[in-house]
Amino acid sequence: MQGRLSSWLVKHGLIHRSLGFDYQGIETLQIKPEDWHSIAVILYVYGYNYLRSQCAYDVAPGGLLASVYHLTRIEYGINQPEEVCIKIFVSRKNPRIPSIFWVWKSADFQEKESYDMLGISYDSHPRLRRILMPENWIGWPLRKDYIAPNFYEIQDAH
Amino acid sequence: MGNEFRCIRGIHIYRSFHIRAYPNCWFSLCMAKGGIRMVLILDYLDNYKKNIETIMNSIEFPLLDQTTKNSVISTTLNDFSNWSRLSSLWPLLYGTSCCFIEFASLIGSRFDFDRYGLVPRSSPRQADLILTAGTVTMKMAPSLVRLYEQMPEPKYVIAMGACTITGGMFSTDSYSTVRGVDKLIPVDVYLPGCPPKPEAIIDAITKLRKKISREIYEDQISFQRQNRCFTTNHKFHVGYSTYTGNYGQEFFYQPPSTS
Repeated sequence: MQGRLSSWLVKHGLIHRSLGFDYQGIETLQIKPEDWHSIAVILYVYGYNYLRSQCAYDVAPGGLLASVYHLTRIEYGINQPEEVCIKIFVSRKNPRIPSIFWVWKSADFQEKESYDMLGISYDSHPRLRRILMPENWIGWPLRKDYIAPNFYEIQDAH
Repeated sequence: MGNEFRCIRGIHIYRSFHIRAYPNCWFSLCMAKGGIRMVLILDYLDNYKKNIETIMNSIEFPLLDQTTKNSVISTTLNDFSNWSRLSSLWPLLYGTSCCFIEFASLIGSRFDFDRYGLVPRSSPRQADLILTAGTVTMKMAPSLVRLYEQMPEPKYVIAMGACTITGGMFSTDSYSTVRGVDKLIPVDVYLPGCPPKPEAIIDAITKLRKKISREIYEDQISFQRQNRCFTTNHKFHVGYSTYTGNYGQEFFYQPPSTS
């Protein structure tokens, strides 16, 4: 069965793939990175005015990187807001996704963290730089094929 | 052999010249008469005086003034300097992570650490104890070392919590936690716990005080730290100011050019 948003997107001819529902009943859609900046504005206009969280993860070693967005509608008086989860898969070689900072401001630090930890660079993000690791760190720590360098500080204490 | 009379805030110290060369010699400390505070201290010290007086009478010290024997303490210069440092250890207000909550609870009234003389200082220049409360990552490590180097001698370090002793819960898989703060700065007391209870922190402070009371002055003098860092003469180049007056251009939305 198809979710509400998925059928609405099909009606308006927007390319996406429905990934089903997760354990809480939130419908999950996959969007292509080229279409993301336009579909983000369309979703904002549709009513999703709150980016609950933006995270990213590494799907498989040697595989794709995923950037996940949880969107809901915040409105006065509703207890169970409708929510949707959008996933964008990019290849490991050149991971570039359009930034949605200009649509939902809360994506600022969260996209910086995804950039810092996995290397996904967000186009047109105004200040994309490392936020958790030191500025001159080389490598993306949360990738599954990351090997921590053998610094003196990280070696085991005896 | 002359007598030097020196007045420090109402405490008068007799010092003779030959004692300066031998810090372990006995000297007398005469308390100022008068003042309400001094009277209260005299009452407390009377119990002590009985123990000390029996020892002093057996040594036949010529400088002792017999008419003021109710207000005299005798000690060595070494012990006096150790006592003065251990009873007013001022810690730096430093905390990175969860252990700082336990450290901060010591500032409150339940586990007061002001009764041990600890007054939290915000600046490392005025602190002589640093309780490294919280995980230290590789990004924080240079700042911690800089704070430690800015503290004036004599300074002490208590490594608080499992993260600062060996890396704690982050010691297995972390890519940036420093495994133990003793890789960066020398530590005096290791305090285990995750986080250690405030009573355990007070126990660590007590152990540090006992450690300070055992210090010997000559050891510290011989271990002078000089020329530890490489210094160079700076060559300054005069350049033009970078003041343009246009800041924050990135905060204004520039629509992507479609061509």
